[in-house]
Amino acid sequence: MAQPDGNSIKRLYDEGMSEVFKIVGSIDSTPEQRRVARETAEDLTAMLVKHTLESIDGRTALLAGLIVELNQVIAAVKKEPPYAEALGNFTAIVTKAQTLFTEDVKNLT
Amino acid sequence: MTHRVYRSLAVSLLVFVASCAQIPTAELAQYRSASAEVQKAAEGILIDFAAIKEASEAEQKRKEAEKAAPKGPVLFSTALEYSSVAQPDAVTVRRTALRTIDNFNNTLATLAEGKSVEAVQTAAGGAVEAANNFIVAAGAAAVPGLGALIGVVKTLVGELEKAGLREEFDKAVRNGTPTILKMLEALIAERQDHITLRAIAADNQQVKLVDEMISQVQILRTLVREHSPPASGDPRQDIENALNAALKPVERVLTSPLPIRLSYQDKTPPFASEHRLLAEQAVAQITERGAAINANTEQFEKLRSALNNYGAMLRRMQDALGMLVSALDRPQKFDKVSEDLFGIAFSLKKDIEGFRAARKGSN
Repeated sequence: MAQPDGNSIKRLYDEGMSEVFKIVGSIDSTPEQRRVARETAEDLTAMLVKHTLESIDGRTALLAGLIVELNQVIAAVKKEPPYAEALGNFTAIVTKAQTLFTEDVKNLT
Repeated sequence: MTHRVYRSLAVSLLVFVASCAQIPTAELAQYRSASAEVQKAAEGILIDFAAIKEASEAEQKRKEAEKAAPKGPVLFSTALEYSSVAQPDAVTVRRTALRTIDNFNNTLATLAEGKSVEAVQTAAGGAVEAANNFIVAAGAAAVPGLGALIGVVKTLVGELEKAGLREEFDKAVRNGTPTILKMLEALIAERQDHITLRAIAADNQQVKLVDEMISQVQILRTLVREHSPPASGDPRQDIENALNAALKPVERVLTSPLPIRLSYQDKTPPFASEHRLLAEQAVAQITERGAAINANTEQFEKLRSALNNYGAMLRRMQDALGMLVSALDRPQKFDKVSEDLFGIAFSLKKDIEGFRAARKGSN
């Protein structure tokens, strides 16, 4: 048997609760009718709460997955583009070459 | 001649680079402001969401335990839990989702601020100076007009860096947008579950209050019906008026129409002063329940309004993100681009002329 969807559960709850309110809101209802109405309200509540909490759990899993996805996008962003590093390396190499060259010149003279 | 070629080449390169180096800062600012509003509003919403979710779960567990309560001898349970992985806390996940969006926005802002442009220009200046020092160390003369040459290199490298940042910005926005839109969609849909849990709680509170209130009305009606009019000072009409006045503000929850009539019955004991006291106590309790019913309704409507506003904020953030994405594809405003180009070209021209003058002076 197919599981009832969220809309049909909510419709059932609304229809049931509407009947409950008719009974508890009437000064002509008997104590027995009022007891049954209260019990019905409890059952309807349990049904809709269960369904709603399941829906929240499903969304928790979805959001957890999306958080991982977005963190991957953030991690992939290069905040320091390559030019600064490349230029820094170039400066270091040239400075080192200059030192070595000066030492070689000294050694030759 | 050669300088003219270099200069026109450099200007052409800048024209190309600058035309695609514009980050849509206005759209980014709008998106970040919409996002900041959502972050502020979400905290209050999540506090209520956590409270109602926890209460609903506790009630559900209580009912399940009540149903499963063993009847007869109690046996030791052999049931074991097999999952060692703790389920993620629903509210923490939602807070983390919003914090992750905020981290993403800060990343975009970092790219838009372009702090690395200055860093790369400093590095470029250092590289040129290092190269000159090497030439000097090798025994050759220093490059004339080096200061101006450094200016040329810095301008060019800075523009290339801006283009690199724009490319990273573009990629980040395009890659992050679908995920953020899904998160926002989930948060928009979530409001339905939130309001459903609150509606269930409000309905249950209403059933309890209406039931208690109507029970008091029934008690009062029976109290009057089981008596006959007193010999003097009949309070029935006053009690009836007070009862209907107490019920009037909550008329919408009543199935029985107002006014409710209270009537004596013949051949019963007379309505005495102690009965009047009991009747007044019943009316007071009915008034109290009526006020609680209205407070319950008002509280629910306030949350509904807050969730509607929160939804509007989330949608505004979706729209702002959509505008940011559209701005990536839209050609930049011509006057803004041309103004930028004019500034770049002017500073480049000044640097090149300075360089040429220095070279001429050294010859």
